[in-house]
Amino acid sequence: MNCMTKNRLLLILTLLVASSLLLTSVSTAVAAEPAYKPYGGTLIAPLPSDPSELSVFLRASTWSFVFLDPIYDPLYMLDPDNIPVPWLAKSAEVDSTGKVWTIELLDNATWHDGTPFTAEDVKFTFEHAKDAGYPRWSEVADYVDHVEVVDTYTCKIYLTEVYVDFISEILTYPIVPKHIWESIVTQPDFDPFTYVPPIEVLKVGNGPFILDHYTETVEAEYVANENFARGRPYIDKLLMPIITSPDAMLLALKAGEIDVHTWTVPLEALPSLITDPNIGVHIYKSGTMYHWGFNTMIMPFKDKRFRHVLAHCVDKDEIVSRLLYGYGRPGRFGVYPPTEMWPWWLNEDPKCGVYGYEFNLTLAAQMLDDMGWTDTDGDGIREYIDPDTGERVNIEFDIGPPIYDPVRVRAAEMIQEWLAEIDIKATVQYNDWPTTWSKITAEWDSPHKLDTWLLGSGLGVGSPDILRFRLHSSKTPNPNYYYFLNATFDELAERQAVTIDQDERAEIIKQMQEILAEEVPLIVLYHRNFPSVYRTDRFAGWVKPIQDGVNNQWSWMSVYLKELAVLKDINVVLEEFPSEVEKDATITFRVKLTDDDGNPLSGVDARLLIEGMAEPVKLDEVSTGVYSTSVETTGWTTGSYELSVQYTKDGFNDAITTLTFKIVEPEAPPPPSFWELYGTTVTGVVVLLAIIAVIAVYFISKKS
Amino acid sequence: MKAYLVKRALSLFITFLVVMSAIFFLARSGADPFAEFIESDPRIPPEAVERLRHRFGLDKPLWQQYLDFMVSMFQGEFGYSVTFRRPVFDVIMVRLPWTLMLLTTSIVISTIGAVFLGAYAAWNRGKKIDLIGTNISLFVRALPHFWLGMVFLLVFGYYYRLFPLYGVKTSGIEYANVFEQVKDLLWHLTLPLATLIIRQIGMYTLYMRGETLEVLGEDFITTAKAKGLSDRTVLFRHAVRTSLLPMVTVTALRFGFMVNGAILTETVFSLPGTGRLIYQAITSGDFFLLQGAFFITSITVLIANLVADILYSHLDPRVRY
Repeated sequence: MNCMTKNRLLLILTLLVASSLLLTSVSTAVAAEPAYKPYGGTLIAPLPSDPSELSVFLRASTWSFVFLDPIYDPLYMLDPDNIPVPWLAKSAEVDSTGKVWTIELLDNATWHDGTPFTAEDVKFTFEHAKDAGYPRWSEVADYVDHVEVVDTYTCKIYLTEVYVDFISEILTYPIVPKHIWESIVTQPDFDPFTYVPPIEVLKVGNGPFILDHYTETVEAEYVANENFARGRPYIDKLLMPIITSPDAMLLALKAGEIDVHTWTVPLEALPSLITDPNIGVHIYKSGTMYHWGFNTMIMPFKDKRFRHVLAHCVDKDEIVSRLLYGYGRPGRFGVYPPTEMWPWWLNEDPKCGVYGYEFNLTLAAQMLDDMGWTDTDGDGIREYIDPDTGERVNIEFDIGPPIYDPVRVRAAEMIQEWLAEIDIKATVQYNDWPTTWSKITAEWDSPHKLDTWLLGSGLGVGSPDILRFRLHSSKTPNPNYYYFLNATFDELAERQAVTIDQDERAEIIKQMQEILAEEVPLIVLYHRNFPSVYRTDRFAGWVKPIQDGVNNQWSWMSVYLKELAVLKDINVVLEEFPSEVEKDATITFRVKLTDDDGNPLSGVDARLLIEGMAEPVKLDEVSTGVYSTSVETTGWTTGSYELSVQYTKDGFNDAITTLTFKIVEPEAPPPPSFWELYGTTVTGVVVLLAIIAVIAVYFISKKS
Repeated sequence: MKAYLVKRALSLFITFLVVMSAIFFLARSGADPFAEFIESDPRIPPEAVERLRHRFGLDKPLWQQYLDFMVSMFQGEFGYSVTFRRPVFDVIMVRLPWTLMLLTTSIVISTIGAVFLGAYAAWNRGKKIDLIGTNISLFVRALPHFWLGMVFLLVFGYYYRLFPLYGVKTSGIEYANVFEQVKDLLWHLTLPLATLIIRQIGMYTLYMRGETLEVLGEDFITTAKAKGLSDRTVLFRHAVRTSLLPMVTVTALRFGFMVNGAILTETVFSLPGTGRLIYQAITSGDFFLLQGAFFITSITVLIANLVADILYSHLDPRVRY
């Protein structure tokens, strides 16, 4: 590596760290908006299940993360926008080789028993995780060579190779107290895979909350850590009762017995929730890709042209609208999810075959005809031509959805129906999930391997390196179930993982998406949107990440009791809203929001929901304190509709406006008058007759 | 009697071995607790998963796993739940008392209720009270557990706020004394118990009615009536006692299935219990947990059967071992 490159690398990493610091200050500024936030109160955020694992080294289930997150904190945290920000570290700097990171820790952080949090703890945690070989810490084992303690609050982490996602992927692992864990892991009978930390061990963490008690199957309770280095949480206690029934959880939320719903909210319950002035709704966008995968090693999927044909046979918009009631986004052919977060990795417009992969069954049939894959034996099923034998074989294959998910089962059936229209026979396989799963992960030539399947796979919107982990050829048969083998893609995937220049890396990742769009080893059908609901009457300050519900670590740090805070009212002045709108026209809603003193209010989170709409619409602030949005009414039926708007702002009481409007048929134009209808004709005839008369008079007078 | 008990115990032991063997092989037919490890986090290398499989003995040949399982079972070791990351015994023991409490109470109360209501309906056969009672029983019997539970939850928990919506304890409460704790527990268990009891009374009242009707047609009942005994004596001393015999079998079986019998009630009311545990074990492919849970279930069923057999000899003079 020459000197210039080294300097550039250093500069970029310094900028990265600096931007992280800047982002922290921005986040803090946003969170600190209200003038006064009181301490106190118990926030009740239920767990839908007991945490499966109590050890941070083994945690895998969502509820284990939720249970342990308040106790153990990492050096860097991913903020609500998924950007890593310094947390128990002050900074992280890399040397010119890109393989030695110097981490400076906060010097005021302590463990819950008062012991200082030091570099020894960092060294112990990473080195123990590496030695023990915990599967969920595999990145630490892969990339961390060793940790050197420089002084009490500084350490150096030596990597085995350059890792561009070091901060977001490795420094975000939680740290455990050496003075507690060292004696545990050195016991002769210590088994890292079966060790269950007792409550006394869990009571010594470094996070914003201290575990008070955990009664299995009943509840977990935490108290605020008064000495937390990043400032104590505003709430005194965080209580997590175990509520295993989603319906009971919803009723408990509506009854005010809990403060936030932490399970999937039934979509049909949403209209009644959003109109409740004491309940807030946050729609978040999951990055999980629900996709149709193909075994690309067997015919007809081996032929890329056929995969292009299939890309024209799926109406993703229809799936989103019919099966998800609009709560979702159609998937992209570049696989990387559409997201507002980390947009710089996204290839907005990868080349999608010759015709753009629009849903068009006629075109798909035409493409098959052009390939010569027609139905020659008259059995109603097209045949492909085997490239090895030249034989014609019926295009028949199976689709395996997981039967526990009715959406994917129905999506498989819709695909089956679309394919039937162009004489392709697809058969939906209704197997139990373990069977389906074993059929997806089988080797490509196994007789049990499914031809195609519908799977929901986590993509996140974090590091784009996930594309390498999922689709590199070395990852067959799991998780590269598709046997997507592409040397160029592999080379790009490996290169982006060590490319520190973010622009250069983004270019590589965009090229990878181009390849995926061209090769179509899988078709991403949709990404789901989920409502997260919470009460607004007791606590304010909920944090609403784009990709997550309000039940997150940032919320636990930010929420505060409203009744103790000095809250003002939001005053709503309606500026524009028609009570009647013609069918298919656009309805515009505009309001001015002020505080009690008449000052315009900026930064209000205002959401509008019209009866029958799947998703609330966010109101944009068009000028200071003025908020507006427009809704197309195309396809709406005539009648009365109720519109509700909820306004939320830290330090203010929530306000809600409910209005009614009508969709009416456009007024029929008055029937045209006789003159409008025939005026031109009559004038023409009159003029013609006049001309004839003049000519006639002329000739008659001439003769006479 | 002793010889019979020994013979019976031996037969139950063989049944137990067959059941546990069947569970062992069935559980392994499709499930794999580590199957979705990589899908849930693609960064995990396959070698790490193999290490885990090795740690839990899943890389051994099936026959060896079977032998290990049988040996450890008789040593009282149920293995380690890979879902809960805790010893199976601990996981079950935290939940079993709740299930025993809920189901023992509901079975005892519903059996007593069903015996009296069924006998009374049979005695009044064809009368209005019988007609009403039979139809109500049929209706209640047709109601699914979870539906009845959800209606109770909605009406008494949400609209009238008379009972809690979830769990066995008021969130965050610290009890001053045992009395308060028991009061709080009973308050939480009222709706789930009511759900189970009402439905079970519906189910077994009809059964008891049918049995009593059959007995009421016997000669000894006519003799009892001819002797001038009161209706009450004829019904409860003669008819009901005889009709109880089949109810003993049914009740014993209900005790046997109690461990996994209340999955839906446990789910609706967010109660801890072994029913949900078995469901979780099946869905997550955790066959160590499944084996442990079925061990308890099988033992309960077999013991309940044995108890029923012994009770029979006491209740029915015709049965002598």
